[in-house]
Amino acid sequence: MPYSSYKRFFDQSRDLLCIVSLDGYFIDVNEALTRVLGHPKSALIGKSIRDLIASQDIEKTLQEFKRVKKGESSTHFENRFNTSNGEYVTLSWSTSTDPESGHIIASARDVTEQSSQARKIQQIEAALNKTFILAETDAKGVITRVNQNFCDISGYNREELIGQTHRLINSGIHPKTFFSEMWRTISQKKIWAGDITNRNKNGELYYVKTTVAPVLNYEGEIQGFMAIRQDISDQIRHKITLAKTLDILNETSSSAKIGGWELDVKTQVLTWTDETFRILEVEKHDGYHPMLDEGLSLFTPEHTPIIETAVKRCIEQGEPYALELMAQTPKGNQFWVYTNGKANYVDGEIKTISGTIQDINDRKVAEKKFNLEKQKSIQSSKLASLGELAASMAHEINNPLGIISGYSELLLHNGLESPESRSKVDVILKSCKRISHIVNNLKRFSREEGERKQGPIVLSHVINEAIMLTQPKLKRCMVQLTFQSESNATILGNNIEIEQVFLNLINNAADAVKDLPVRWVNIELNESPTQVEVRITDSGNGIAKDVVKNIFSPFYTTKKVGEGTGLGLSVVVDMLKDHDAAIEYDAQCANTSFVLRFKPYQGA
Amino acid sequence: MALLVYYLDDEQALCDVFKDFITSDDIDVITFVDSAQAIKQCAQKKPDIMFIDYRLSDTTGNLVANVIDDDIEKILVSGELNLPHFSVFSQVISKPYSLVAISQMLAEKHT
Repeated sequence: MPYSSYKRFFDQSRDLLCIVSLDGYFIDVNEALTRVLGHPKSALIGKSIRDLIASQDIEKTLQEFKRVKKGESSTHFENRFNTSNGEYVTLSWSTSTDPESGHIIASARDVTEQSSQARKIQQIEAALNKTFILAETDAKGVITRVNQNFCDISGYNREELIGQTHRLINSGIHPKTFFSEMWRTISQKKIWAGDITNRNKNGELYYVKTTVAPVLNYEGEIQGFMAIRQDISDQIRHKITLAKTLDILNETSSSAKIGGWELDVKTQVLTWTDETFRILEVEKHDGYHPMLDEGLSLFTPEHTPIIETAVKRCIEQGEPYALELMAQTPKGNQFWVYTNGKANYVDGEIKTISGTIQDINDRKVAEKKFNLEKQKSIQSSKLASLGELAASMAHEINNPLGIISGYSELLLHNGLESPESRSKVDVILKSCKRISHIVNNLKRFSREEGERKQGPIVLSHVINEAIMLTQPKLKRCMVQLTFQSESNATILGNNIEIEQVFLNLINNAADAVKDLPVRWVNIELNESPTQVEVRITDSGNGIAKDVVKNIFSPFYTTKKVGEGTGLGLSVVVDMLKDHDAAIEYDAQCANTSFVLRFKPYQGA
Repeated sequence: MALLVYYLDDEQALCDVFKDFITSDDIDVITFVDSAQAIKQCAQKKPDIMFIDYRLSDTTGNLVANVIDDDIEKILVSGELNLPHFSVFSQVISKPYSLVAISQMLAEKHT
């Protein structure tokens, strides 16, 4: 082939061609190379290539020159050249030495773009390697490549991992269906992602967020898989700890019967803990958040205004509250709860209020019972003190009484002529007997504490004794009391306690009617084979409906401050309960009437 | 022969009214306000029956009864509310007592 043909091929070739002397000077360059470098041919010929190579690449280019000078060929050698516009192009060289001329014949391709992409891929891979746990498998799932992170987290070295499948690190925690589903997905050339619990060489569990992608060949067939994992062990352990803590908290809350709540002030939406739902007996649905109005309606009508005011003040003024209130659940149950609330500020504004609610019914009931027992005990000890006082005073009273009655008898004995005088002495004697009877009655209250003897009691006798003890008060209040009974109806019980029941009821009746224009109290006693009934009616006009429901509750009183503790009727109820007896208010009666029902004593 | 009755009580007025009321042709009454004197008298001349008050100024009726001859019937008289049982007394009479009733009881004893 003529030289001219070679020359044309050289000049017109799309590849970048040049001839360089062994000492590194351009002898000839083709058009393609001058276009890429941006320098005219005339500027390049005779120029040292060193002047055009990027400074960082000079050393490796010189090394490559040495190899070529030795007669070795060079392929795919890359270096960067400075172009006329100041940018770099990356050229991939193939070179050889012409044995005739001793020149270097070089062809190059502009791989600037590919090189840039390759670098990017390299950087990405380096980043992936550093951050993620990487593994590659063949199409059967046999591990062919792992990075250091895989070795570190699994505890196996590369030699132990390569050639194995991922069964080596199977924790046994996931069901078989978990992995079969994964295989089904990736076998369909789809990407699978999920969280996997694995087990390391030491038998400890670790957790990875995993993405498995199939790697396809040119034919689009699966040639292997690539698994990219992220260690989420800390996150999962934190979650487990958090869940455990929440469980403990829930359990503690449940044991202590303490629930939590939060109110979003703007939306009025309440967020409750499970225990709050349980305490207030409200059914919990998924995503259900009661509104404030619903929450406030879960208290009795008496206590609703109290909680409403407290919440309002908390929202408006940030005033915290702590209240003991009676809750009323949707199931209709009523019980005592303690609830508190405080305002939560964001940027100086009250955004939420939050607090707790606690079931304190057991404590409140115990407290009430304790107070009632305490009052009963105080009342008993007062009566016992009265009895002791009576006992110590008895001798002092009975001696002068003996003298009075003795001389009165003597006067009668010696013969008083005037019937009027005799009658007067009779009055003295009767009065002595009355005083003596009163002193003797008081004696019965003097008893050992804790002693609670039960025996047959003739009710009419006890009622008469109670009347005698209340007579001074009845007189003072100008109340007419009537009780006439021939009945010997007998019950089994404690004389003192039953007498106290009637004392309380007669005293209450006297207090109730003392300011009325008509003042009377009537006691009736009726018996049947199965029941002994005592009805105590006074001239009052009955008790208002809203008051009736509370009259037997401890500490409830309609009397003025200082006139009553509100324990009289509750003590009556309690003492009657101890005697298997009951009291009820007769709402049908035009006056105020209480009916007491006892079981008759059937004998020993 | 008249029934001899002793009455021991530190309350002079009670002694006086007892003596005035009970003394009759059939009953002689001697009263004492001092227990030592009563004990001494019992040793000298035994009564048929002796009433002894419980709460005396220097002692109690049961202690007096214990040192008096067992043959003498003793009745405890008391204004106290809670007294234990003393076997030395044949009965207990509470103050204020009925002189008529005592008189009747003594009359029955005389017959």
